Amino acid sequence: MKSPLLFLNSDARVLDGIRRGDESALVTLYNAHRRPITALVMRNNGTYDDAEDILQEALVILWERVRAGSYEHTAALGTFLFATARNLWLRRLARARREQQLDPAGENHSTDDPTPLEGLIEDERTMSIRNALANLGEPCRSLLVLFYWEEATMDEIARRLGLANAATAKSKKYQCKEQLKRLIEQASGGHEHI
Amino acid sequence: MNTSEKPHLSADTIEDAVLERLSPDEKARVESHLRDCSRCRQAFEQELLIAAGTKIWARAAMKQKLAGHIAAAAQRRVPWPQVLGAAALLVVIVGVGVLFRWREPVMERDLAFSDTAVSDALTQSVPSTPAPSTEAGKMTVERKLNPPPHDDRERDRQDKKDVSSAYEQTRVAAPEMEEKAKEAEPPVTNAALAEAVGEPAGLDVWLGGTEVSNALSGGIQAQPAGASNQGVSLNRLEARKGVRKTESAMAPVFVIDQRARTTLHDARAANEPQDIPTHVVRRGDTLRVTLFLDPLLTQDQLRSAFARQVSADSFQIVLPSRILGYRIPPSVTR
Repeated sequence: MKSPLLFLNSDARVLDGIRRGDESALVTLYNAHRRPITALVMRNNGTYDDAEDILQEALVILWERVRAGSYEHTAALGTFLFATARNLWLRRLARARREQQLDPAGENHSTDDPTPLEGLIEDERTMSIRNALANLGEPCRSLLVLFYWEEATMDEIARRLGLANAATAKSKKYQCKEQLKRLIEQASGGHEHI
Repeated sequence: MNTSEKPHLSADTIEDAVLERLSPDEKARVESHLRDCSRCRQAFEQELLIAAGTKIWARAAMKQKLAGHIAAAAQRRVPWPQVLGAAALLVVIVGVGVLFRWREPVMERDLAFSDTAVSDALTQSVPSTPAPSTEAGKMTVERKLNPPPHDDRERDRQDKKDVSSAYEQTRVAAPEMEEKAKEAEPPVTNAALAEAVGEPAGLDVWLGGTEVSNALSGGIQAQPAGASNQGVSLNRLEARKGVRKTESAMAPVFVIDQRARTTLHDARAANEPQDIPTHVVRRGDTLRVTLFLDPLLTQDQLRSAFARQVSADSFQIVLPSRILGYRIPPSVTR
């Protein structure tokens, strides 16, 4: 029997793959859109490695948004990727400029940080949390990633982690967050209270 | 503001606020509460940091996984540009190899000629061989090793024409030539010729050459079999002829030189101008052929001359303007 996906266009197939958690869908996108994005970055003072990094970051953002259900397929995926990569690269250039000009006030901040959460992404304060997460065992790490990054519901988290139900997942999430906070405090020698 | 008047924000509300899941009204209410409630503000900031840290960690982990997938896919992918490039290069190499092999089928023979037989001819030549002979031999060798320069195209073209037509005529005339040679008496005896040049009889063989044709006036343009229609230099044509199947297994290397005919007191030569007395001496695989000519060939003409064996007991010498046929007596053959 033919898969119904055969009748969908390539963007739809890729989006469907991402929704199913198929990471190879991103590789398809990478191969399809590598050239224009590499050209964009390299034409704007970037290196080939910069371009690779930006493209991968744009793909991860796409993954993140699709998985979180916040992606709206209003344009071709290539257009989304190109625009995202362009914004990422401009932001990186702006940051490099700020560092060059020693602009501690940060008056020329990019407007690409619309939320407080996004604003913290590059904050050094998150470093201790990232380190603590690396030491956090499973399934806590996956649970927190599902909750905060993929913004999965408790029902979905329970299903994907094999927990009894949403209430169990919620209880487990609480425990995991407490464990994470302890790890952060231990890493900072008890000085950082979170 | 006294926070005791209002209940603190729940953990779920703070999470929803961080993850932007609140409606505009709820968002406004939470923001208002956060302005006045330091405890809730602190909880919100903690939640914000955890969410941001988790996102960064997850993104980095995903990026790492993605890089792994990309690398794996790149390894699986057939590098078509490289494969096609390599295939094209291979075709070019094979093509060039075939072309050169086709155009110069006996390069190894040429090398063998220059490495062994010719040095043999030059170093083991008869002590009594006059200096011009050695010089001529050297020139023949030089011609083998150093083909005529390309800018001397006219001469090459002429030589090619000469050799081509001469070869064709000889091929046609060879049986007849052999027949005649069988019937005819040697124009001069070995003893007489040896005496004329002061060399002991019996060591060498003196032959009477018969001019088979005049290639320049023959006008035959047929190419020897296997000759390229593209410009082929004389030495290449000669090399081609060298690999033609002869009736004999013997394939000597001929070294041609010349001496003035006046040194040979041959009464018959005056009456038979077509007959060119020729001295042949064998040293190993080398047959040194000395033509007694009057007038002598120019150095260029001599350089472009060549000889080949056409049967077990005959050979021919091709000069720019004529072909000479000779029979090889048993004393010379191996």
